[in-house]
Amino acid sequence: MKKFILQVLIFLSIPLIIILLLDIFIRNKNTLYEEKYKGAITYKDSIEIIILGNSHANYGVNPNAFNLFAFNLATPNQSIYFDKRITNSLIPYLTKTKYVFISVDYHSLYFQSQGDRDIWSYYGNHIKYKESDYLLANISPSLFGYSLKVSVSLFLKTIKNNVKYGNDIIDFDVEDGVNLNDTISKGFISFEGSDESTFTIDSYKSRSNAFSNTIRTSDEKDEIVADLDSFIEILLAKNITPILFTSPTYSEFNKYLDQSIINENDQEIKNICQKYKIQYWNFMNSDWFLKKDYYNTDHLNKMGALKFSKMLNDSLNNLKVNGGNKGYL
Amino acid sequence: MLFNSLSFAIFLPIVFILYWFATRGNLRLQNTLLLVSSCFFYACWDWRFMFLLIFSTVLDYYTGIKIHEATKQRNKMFWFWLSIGFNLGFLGVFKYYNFFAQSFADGLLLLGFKANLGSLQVILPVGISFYTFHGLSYVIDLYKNRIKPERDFVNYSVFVSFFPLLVAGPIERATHLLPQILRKREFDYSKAADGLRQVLWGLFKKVVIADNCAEYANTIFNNSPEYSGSTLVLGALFFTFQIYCDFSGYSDIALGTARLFGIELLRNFAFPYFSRDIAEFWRRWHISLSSWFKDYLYIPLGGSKGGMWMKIRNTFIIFLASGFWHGANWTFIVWGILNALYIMPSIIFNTHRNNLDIVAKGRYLPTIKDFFAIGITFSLTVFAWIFFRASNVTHAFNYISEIFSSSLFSLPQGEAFIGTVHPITMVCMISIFFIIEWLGREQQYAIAHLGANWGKPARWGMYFAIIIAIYWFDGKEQDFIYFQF
Repeated sequence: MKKFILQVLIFLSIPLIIILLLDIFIRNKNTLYEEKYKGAITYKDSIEIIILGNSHANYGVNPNAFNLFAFNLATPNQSIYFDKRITNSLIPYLTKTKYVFISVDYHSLYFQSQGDRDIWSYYGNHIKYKESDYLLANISPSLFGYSLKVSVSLFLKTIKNNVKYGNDIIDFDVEDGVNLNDTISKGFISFEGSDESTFTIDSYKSRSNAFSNTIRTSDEKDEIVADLDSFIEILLAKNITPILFTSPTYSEFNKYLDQSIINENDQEIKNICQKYKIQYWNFMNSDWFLKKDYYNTDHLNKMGALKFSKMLNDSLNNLKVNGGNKGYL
Repeated sequence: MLFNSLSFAIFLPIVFILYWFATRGNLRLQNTLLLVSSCFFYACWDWRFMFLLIFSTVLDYYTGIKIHEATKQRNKMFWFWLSIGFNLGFLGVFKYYNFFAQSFADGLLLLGFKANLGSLQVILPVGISFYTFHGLSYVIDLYKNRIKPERDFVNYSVFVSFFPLLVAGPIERATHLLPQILRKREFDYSKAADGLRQVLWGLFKKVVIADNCAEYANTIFNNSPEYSGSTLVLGALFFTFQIYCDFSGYSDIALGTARLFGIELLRNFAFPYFSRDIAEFWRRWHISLSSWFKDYLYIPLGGSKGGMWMKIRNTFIIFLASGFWHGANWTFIVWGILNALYIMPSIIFNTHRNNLDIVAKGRYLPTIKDFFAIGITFSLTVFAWIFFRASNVTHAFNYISEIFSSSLFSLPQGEAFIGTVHPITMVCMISIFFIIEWLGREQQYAIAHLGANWGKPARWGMYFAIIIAIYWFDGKEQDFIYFQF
């Protein structure tokens, strides 16, 4: 009996040591979430515009294109639930903020949890998803936070990149397509060029199906709309102007999206905009964006992001000068 | 508390250590600990259904003693039918009421009458089909004087509610399990190590194969009108591996866990996908249920003694009952009938006991004849699983009709195969799994003797590789399919 327990303990000690080492690595690893959160705190006395949203806004809105001091707080897969809470946690420090750009994309009104990224985001900005306590994720981030697969991938990728490029590259993990020699600026990091393999009918279908499946299986819409509603109320109460926007997505890909969902989203956003007399700028099907502006089916690249951000800035300037159109555009 | 959850990973070592250390070999204490642990395990699912489990246990315990003590046949029958009535009554209310009410209303509607019988918004108590069948077998065996009643309530309760088998079997018999509960149990190093190995293999089957296959199978079955015949065939194949690895994986974990406590449970699977005919498949698939139906339904109905027609009728009855046992849906009944039809030629021509041995025993490869026989049996099984998985019979027929359309010859649609693991990786994993299962088909479970002659570093390396695969390729967590039954 004792021999059995001893053997089991010896057997388990090997993976436990590996996990312990991985935990040390993960705890010390910088992340996009941390980078953005720390950046927002660093520039707290300057930030006039906050950009929120998921990967579309993360890669698509370049704060440097704005006349006012903008900061990009969007991260991949970030839901409105987290947009609201991250902003709420920072607002007490952001004394100059006048505008908050809230990204509402095809699927934004249908998901609150970011899946695995809930925990990743928690490590960076300390926002918990609903009642989650993240007890285990705090004990062992590599096992219960990132998962072993992601932790090992991060570890191997870091080693590979350090060997290949040395230490003069960004020290947090980014998706394929981002130039590692790039630097994050005001929370913005971008894709370079285009990933041609994603511009295929199969890719459009699978990507749009993934979005549509999220939407069809979701029963969270009412809760999310109510959350967005209260978020807007909070911002208005603090004399901050919320602006809803939808990033451009590639026209060929858009053909595979469900028009009834798009119409439903439009109606929902229209109701909110009319209720609070706020702006909605929809660039989803904008003709200004060509294939060369996209990294893939639904993400702008560096060039596209600059173009889009300039257009957002122009619209904002127009709003400031002319008051813009009140309500839904 | 799922077997593949962290809570179980904490629960099991605690119970194990208390069981072997704190009880100091005292059988009474060991059984009490098993009972308390089992109650805790079950209460973690839904404590409200504890009352049902307790009632069912008390009922069978009490009626069992009364059946044994009754001197008159009339009294014996009274207690027997009281127990049967309550057991089947509970099952009927919780599992089948809505089905019968809806089917009856639909039937009346066909005749032009509109009936609103209402439906009960009840949650199916987890494991009800399994522990009810435990209780039924005990009472029937008592009534038939095959066993004597267990007068110690703790011992009897452990028989019904022993946590490894409580929620999804195997369906135990009093003749097999009760003597083990009553016997003093000593720790056996090799049995415990074997138990851990079987748990590990079960986890691999469940987490790596079943959960990943489920992602593809769910996408394809849930959106079947959008997919081509070739994609639907792959969907059915993925479900075939999902259900096998899900259920046999669960059984492996249950058997392995029980072995850690010095208890041997009935074997539930014996590599069914290597069967050469349907009769062999049913001797190897969900063995504890098949043998239950054989012993408590087929044989009492006359078995094969009353001539060919009796044999055919009884075979149909047990397959119908087996289908219906799985759930209150016509899909399960059609699945049962289909399997009855599959097996019928071998019943009529008396070839159903042709393949009693292990295929290609002592050889690496099967003969060409066996190979084709396995292929045909496997294909028939895949076809039947379509009914099992479909949401209703119309869905199943639409699914099948699309398979037999010209789109069968088109390339499968890539967008159907978006999952945690890349489909090519998944096919590789299934292939490796299949090879290991084939090589281990003469054992109780595939890796029972794998690495037995290797040095410790190599053997442990294999275990680490399995553990890494479990963590690396873990699919989106899915409930065990058989929990719903």
